[in-house]
Amino acid sequence: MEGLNIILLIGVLIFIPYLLGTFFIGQTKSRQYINGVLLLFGLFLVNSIWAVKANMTLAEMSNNFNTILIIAVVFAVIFQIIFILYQVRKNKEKKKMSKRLFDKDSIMEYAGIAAAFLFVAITFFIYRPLLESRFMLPETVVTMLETNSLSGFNPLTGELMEVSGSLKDNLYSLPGFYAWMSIAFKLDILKILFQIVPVWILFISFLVFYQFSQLFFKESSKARMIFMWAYALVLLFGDMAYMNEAYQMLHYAYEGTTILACILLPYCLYLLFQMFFCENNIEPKKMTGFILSFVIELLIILTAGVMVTVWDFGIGLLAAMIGIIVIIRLAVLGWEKIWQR
Amino acid sequence: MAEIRDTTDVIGYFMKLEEKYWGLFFISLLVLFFFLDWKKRKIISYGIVSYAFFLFPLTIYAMVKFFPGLILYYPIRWICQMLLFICLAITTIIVSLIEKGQKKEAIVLFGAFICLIFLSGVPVFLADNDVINHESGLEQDFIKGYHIMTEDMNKNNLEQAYIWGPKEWMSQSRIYNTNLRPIYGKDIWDDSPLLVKSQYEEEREKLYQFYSYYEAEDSPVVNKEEQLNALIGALLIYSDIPCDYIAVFKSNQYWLEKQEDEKDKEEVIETVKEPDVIDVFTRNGYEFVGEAGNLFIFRCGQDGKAGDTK
Repeated sequence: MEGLNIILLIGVLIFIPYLLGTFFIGQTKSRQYINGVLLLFGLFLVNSIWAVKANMTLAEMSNNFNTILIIAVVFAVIFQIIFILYQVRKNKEKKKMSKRLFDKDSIMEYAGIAAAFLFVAITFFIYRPLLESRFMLPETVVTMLETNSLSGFNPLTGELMEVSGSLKDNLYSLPGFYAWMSIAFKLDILKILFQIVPVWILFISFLVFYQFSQLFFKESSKARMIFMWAYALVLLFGDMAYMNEAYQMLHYAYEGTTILACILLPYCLYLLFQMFFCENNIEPKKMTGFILSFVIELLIILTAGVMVTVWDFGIGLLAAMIGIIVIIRLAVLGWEKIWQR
Repeated sequence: MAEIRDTTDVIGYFMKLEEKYWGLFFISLLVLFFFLDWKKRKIISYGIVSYAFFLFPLTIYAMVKFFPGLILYYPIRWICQMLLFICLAITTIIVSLIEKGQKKEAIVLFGAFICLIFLSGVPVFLADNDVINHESGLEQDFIKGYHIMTEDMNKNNLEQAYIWGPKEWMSQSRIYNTNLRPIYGKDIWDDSPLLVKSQYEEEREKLYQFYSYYEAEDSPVVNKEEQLNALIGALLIYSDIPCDYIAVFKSNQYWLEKQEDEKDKEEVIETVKEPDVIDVFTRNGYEFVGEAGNLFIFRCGQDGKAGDTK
């Protein structure tokens, strides 16, 4: 029974973001998946805010999210069917895509990248996660599950706490997300946190870095494969500096800070690169998808630092990242003007 | 969490061996600058600017000097996306070698890269794997200790139990069983902004201090028996704080394990008398519940008040 539930959860983590990603038109498959993940987080965030405002219990919040998810998936399927019918009518891009997917070089590339991913993913089953940390996500999730509540406790001692009515003090969206997984799929939360979630986060992170490889090495599938292997190796031997991205990924993959460091910020950087440095490559119809995913990501980081557990870091780091891009952009524009003169 | 508050910290930050990744990042930027296609250099300018603003030692030195009180935390490096630029650098060199037909050189270089990364870090799965239960991420001895306590709770019809013990043992207890209630959380000893700082009463802060003295590895000649008695005394003084179980390590032994010099060990064993932990506690009316490795667990009074079975 447990095995079946694990397979179900993995299926949900793979297919639901993919389906949700269909709302973003004109994206590659991998970007569609990443956008779907962002939308999934976004939906859960909205659900969490609603649950806190309505004083729901954890079980009620989970049921609520199940309903939201079913509605979102139904909409996504309808949207996908309409889109496919539209494409069949045009009968253009489909040919292009199938050619790209089954190209010999592409198959080699995907196989190579899959091998690199598995090479790293396997470590989650043979090494230990770190618990002697300053984070408290596992404690928060187990306390949520034990008390069937969303907030109002000190997860470290189990004591009930008087908290203010503010959203920031009561919103634990990421722990809530893991608690939902545990309730919906009747799985042990430690198995979810230490074995299933890390592989999923690693997968998304691989997809994000794959976007960079496509950006830098558009023409060479070999180069993309080398890039992804380099990433896998850097991760695998990454136990060298506290709070380094590699260290985060392999020791605390379930933490919000890891999602921030290894998924949200790199993807945000990728979108910024695309928008500001490679604008000539983006077709106008794809631009909508880019902007939409950027806005969702921005909202996740800004309105819900809690989703990534660290309110201030998310905002500060994002602001710094955008600041750097703006400085470069202005410098480049200035340089071009001087050059033209 | 390491933070930079003054210029001394800046020097320490960059001299530390664990910070070698900022060096790798710098080398990567240089490599990209010389090897990358001119058209793509606009993109690496992000790496250069972020490095110049947030990682370059002189910039940080200047920031700290001219804006005293400014705190720079480790996560600031996430802006720089170091892994991205390191991977990009190595791929660029290898691809350029392959394009020139120098496949052997490319393979050798990739091997050298693996060695460099390997030497810069530690493979994660080699770190202390043997003592940890993989399923839960907890130490085997810790789990044994929680298990002993949970069984005793069942025997004594205790639905929840307040516990006092070593830092890490207490902090991880709630992952094993949420009916275990540490009398203070790990936020009491941590100033990290990543934790929600709870407001603890002064009594709990005092209990934390008492235990910290006992846990300290400062000197092997400190009389640990006196410190054990001080723990018991603290429970008596602050009897308003409920405590059902107390756990202690054999601290001298813990200290000895860390000594590499055999002579030092022998000298300490000769001069320091190891306190009989079980004797000290049972003499004071605590009931010995069990031991897990170096950890000894005792039950306090029936009504949860510290030390009133004495």
